[in-house]
Amino acid sequence: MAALRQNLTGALRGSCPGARLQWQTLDQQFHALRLGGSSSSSSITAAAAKASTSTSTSRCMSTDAQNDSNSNTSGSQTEFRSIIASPENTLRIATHARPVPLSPSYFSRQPVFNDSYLTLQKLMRSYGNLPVIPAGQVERVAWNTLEDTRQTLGEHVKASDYAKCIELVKRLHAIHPTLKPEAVTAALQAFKRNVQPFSNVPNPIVVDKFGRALGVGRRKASVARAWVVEGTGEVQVNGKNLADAFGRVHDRESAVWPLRATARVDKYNVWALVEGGGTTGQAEALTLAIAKALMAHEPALKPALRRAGCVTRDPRRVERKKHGRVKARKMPTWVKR
Amino acid sequence: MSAPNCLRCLLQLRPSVALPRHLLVARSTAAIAIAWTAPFSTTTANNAKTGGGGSKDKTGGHIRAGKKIKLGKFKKNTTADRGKAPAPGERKAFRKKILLSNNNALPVPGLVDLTPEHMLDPQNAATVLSIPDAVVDQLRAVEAFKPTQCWGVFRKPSMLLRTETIDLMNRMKGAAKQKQTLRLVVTGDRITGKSMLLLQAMTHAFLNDWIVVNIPEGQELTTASTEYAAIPGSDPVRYMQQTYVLKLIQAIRKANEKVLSKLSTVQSHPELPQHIPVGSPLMQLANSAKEADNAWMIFQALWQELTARGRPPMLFALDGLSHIMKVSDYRSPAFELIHAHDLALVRLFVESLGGAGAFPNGGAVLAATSRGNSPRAPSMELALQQREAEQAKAADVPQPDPFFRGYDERVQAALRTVQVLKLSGISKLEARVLMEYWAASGILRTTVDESAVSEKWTLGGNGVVGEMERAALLTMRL
Amino acid sequence: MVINQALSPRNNFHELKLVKKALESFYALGPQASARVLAKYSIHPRAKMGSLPPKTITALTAELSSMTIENEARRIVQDNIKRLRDIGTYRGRRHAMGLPARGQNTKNQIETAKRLNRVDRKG
Repeated sequence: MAALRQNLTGALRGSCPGARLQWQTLDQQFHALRLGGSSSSSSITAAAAKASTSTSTSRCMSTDAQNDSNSNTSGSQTEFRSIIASPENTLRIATHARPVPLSPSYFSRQPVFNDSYLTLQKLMRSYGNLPVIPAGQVERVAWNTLEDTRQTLGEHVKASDYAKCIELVKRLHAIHPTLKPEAVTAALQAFKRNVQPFSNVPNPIVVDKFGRALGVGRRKASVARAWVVEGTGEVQVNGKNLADAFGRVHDRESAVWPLRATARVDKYNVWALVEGGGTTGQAEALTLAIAKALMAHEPALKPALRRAGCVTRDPRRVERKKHGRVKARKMPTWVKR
Repeated sequence: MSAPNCLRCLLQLRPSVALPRHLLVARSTAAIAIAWTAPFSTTTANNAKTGGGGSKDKTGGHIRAGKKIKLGKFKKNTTADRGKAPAPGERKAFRKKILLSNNNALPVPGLVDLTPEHMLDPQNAATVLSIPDAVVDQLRAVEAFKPTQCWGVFRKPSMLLRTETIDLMNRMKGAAKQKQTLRLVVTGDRITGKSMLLLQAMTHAFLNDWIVVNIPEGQELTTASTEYAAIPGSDPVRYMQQTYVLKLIQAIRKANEKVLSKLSTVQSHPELPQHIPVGSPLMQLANSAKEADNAWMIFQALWQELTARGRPPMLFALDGLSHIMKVSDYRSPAFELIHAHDLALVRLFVESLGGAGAFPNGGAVLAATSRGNSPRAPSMELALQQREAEQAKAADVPQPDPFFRGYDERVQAALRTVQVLKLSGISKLEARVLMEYWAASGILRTTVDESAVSEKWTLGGNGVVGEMERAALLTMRL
Repeated sequence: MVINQALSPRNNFHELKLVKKALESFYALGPQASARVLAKYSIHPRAKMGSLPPKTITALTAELSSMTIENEARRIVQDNIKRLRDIGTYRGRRHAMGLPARGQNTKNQIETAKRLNRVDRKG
């Protein structure tokens, strides 16, 4: 039965080096398809032979390369010649040969997509009963979007079809990783986006053997690195104390804001290096840096810090100047002439 | 689109508009009364004038005028009344004014006046104590209070005794006991309380009946803002600053009256224009300085008397050391800049600080550096760093930069043997005591607990007093 | 002497006028020269006229009378210009015409030359 299936798929593809298949006309092949799995390979050939003799209008074609590679090419050729040569044979020989399409989807509108969809369906039939892991624990993967697929395949894939396909993909992806067959992994690979945003995870900040946690924060043009250790509330910025580093009280407050907001001012010491930008940027870069380092010490503080606005990097930058404008937005003074 | 009636008119209650005519007469007086109490109106006076009109026409008195074209709006309003210009010196007097008490501040319960023993007991570290009134007058006479210190927000001048204070007072006391002179320079970061420590030293001196001579700003001596003249017959030429010395003598006399009145001269001073026989009271000598011309001579005589044996210990203090450790802005007749150490009064202080003119009765020579408006004095900075390293017995003492030419030999020599006291932030305990004092005075409106203290301590750059004050009291001082 | 009267505080200068500025009010005494005069008599640069003792004022007056200031200094300048004019130099001609003498453009901005470049120069 397995051999039959192999032959069948070989027939579908139009090439199968392993199978002992003679060249066949397309009609014969479709005959074989129609026959399904009931007949053996020999019966196919027999049927083919019978068909070739009986039907005069059958087209006779194949790919030459396939014939060359076949082990018993000579036999088939001789047979072919004999068919041609025999004067009593009244068959009309096809004058135009054309290749057998690799896939029956060839004549559909989205052959490549349909093929892969069929493959997935087959895999689903085979492995659908394998255990899956809960939805929350599935590794997050960015799948190709509909647009991506249309672009890469050059086929107009229907959105509803694609949705069904992706549903299959996700279902297959949810199979327990230890039990997931190679074939599934390989099949899913094609659906993964080239760049995986979810694999781009920041390295977790660790508290080193000296009890330091290094956090990096940025704001405007400033970059701050803050080493946070448990201590008594001393802060040094670029080797200076907080008052020397920031003249404005407001800047000092925003620099130690994560500690203040979580009532940890007297629990930690901070040693920081800041560069770039101005005072406000440096102070608020420090906010982020200290907050990150603090979260390494006490991860439970994250919600509190987020509420205090210390977790998110402020992405705003100076807007670039545009030509025709005085600044980024400002227009030159309007003059009548 | 602008409504003909302005919003303020609508805000005013106008029952007369809605009411029928016959009720109007009865209600009109009440309506007027309500209408003229419209909130935040600056035009009540105008409205009051047209008050009768308010009941006469129903639209009320006020109709907003439309936009008017204003011609010549860029012309300066020359008729603006600017008031009287302040008299000469008035602005400066206001700038330099020192308020030492504020009746709006709450009196702090349990605030004790300082006694001589208070400042010596290590157990009194981290306490706030007030300065006795007599001493306040004396301190004011020697100009120990600075306009930048915010005394004016408290009921009574009081101060925090830090560990450094107690330490310094004990050293002063020890030196006086052994008839030695404590020669010390107070350094430290900005607003860490250097001038305040000087003030505390002076308080201690006044409480213990020392003689106090204070030069409140070294700057006044060297920025060429007071009169100077070459001392006749001096070689190399020294310069006296008559007017300043006269002022100084008067300050000494006023501040140390209690001590000086008990003392009398032991030397004859034949060079003085006024004959002062031996045994006459010192106050008489001090009082004889009436004019700037002979002030320097009298000061010299007074100094001799004060440093004669058997006198009480003396404190000689100066703030703003770097100003007298440089070339002054004065010029000699040959148009060369005069080194600050060639100015006689400065020289007296520098020699005392350097150990040349020791006080036979013991005492202290204290100088404080300043971080606000002070010139860079590389030699002084280096010398102080070296002394500090030597005191700490550090392995590597800072060495002069071989590629720098701005060093001054005379400054190096003057500071070769001084002690250095470096001030930094106060401890958390001291911070807490200070903040409790602020809270008790009604200035700090938060509860003083552990977290508040440590927060302000951190915000103040690890306990820098002035910065803490800025962060906590939001004072605008720089 | 005119100068003597001029420097005497009761006559011309206000008591609160800076001595340095008072000196600079004389023609041919600028910041440098006045600073030197002050240094010579040990007067600090922020001294006011009222604070000077009479002795110093006399000395200053004597000093000023020995210096070439005011009309004497003006005459020197006038003589120099006259000399240039007499020997017929270009600079002399330009002075006579009241135009810039050092090759400046004359399209505009020659007010200073108009004011100053004269054969009988006043200022």
